[in-house]
Amino acid sequence: MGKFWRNHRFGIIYGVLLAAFTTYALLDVFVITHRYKSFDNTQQINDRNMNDKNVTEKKITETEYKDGNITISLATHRMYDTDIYVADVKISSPDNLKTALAQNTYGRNVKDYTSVIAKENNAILAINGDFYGAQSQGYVIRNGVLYRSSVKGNEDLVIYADGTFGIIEESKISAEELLNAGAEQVLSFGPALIKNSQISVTEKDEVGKAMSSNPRTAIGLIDDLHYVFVVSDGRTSSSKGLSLYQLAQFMETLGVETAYNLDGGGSSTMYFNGNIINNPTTDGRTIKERSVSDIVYIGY
Amino acid sequence: MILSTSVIEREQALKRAKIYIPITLFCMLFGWVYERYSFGVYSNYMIYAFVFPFIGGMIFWLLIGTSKKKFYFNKIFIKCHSASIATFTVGFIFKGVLDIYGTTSDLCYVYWIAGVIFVSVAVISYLY
Repeated sequence: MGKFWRNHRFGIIYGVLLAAFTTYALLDVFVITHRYKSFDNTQQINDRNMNDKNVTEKKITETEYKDGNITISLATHRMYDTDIYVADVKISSPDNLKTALAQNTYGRNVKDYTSVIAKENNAILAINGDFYGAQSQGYVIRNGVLYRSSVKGNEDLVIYADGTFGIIEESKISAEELLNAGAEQVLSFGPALIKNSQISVTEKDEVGKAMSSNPRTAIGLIDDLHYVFVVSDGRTSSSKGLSLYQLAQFMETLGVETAYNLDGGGSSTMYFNGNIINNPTTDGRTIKERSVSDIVYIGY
Repeated sequence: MILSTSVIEREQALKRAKIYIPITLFCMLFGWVYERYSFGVYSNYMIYAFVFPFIGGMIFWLLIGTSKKKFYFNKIFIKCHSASIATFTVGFIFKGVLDIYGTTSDLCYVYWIAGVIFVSVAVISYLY
């Protein structure tokens, strides 16, 4: 024992240190919650509830929502061996297009289900956002507040205060400049699927290291205050999933002017009037939502 | 301080080469299984993590063991050489896990910095 220890003590001690550090690093990335900024939105929710009560003549069915300001209609399409869910949204004010952070907190590993975040914010319709919390870089501007200004080099979606969309490259404009230009939301995932009504990805483009077929989430602008929220199933026997190019082709058929790819895979979730519309899955076997950092939603 | 250096005998070198065979195979198998269950998301870091024990460990000691030239290594070289292989291999697997999940971490730099330090110390200890 003594001789073995003398001969191998460096290896044993370094091995233990390496294992301990790796364990810490994995916990830091996947488990340990880092809360950088929390905010109390009780007043906001109360105001929204008041606004919501003031909205009269609501028509709500399984596939439709309509009041004086917001019209949403859901449709399911079948393309590329995949179920694709489309919410066509018309709003009277850009204020109805919003984003929300899990637990009303900006941070890392601060997560919740899309449906939970949606309910907490009285969302009528919601989809998962860009999962900013999985990255340490990339712009984060939400509801007019700048949370992160470090450049990752992504192509970002900017939603301006008037409800229009813009696609920017982080390397060409700073987050502060975007804020000054009236950016209300900046989502950093991408890539842009359609720019100026033209498909802007090729069949070879993919998100990071992802291969072709996956569940997907996208958002598109058709014209003034007219949007589509799109989520596809994938990784299951009934739905293969889409490549980025297939998603772009599908978005083109909807007549969008600008379309942007959001976080997909197990994160892809669409929520409407208290229900989950798609079949979210990470492993293709269990239909279950994955916790995410943020959502994009329609509400008051 | 004078570092004790000793010639590495053929058997010693080949014995060290053999140690890296199961490590290389484990890394290959781990990467293959991880990729298989990652739904088409791949990472070159995960795929090529085996290269360090394979080339840096197995092939390196195999060449030393089969060479006609005599090599003199001190203990610092041998320890730092092994530690650098372990550090880079674990670092690559860690980075591969993050890539496949679709996330990043600044802690990756700790592996690269530590690995480079070990390699540098090993080379310096060999040269001097």
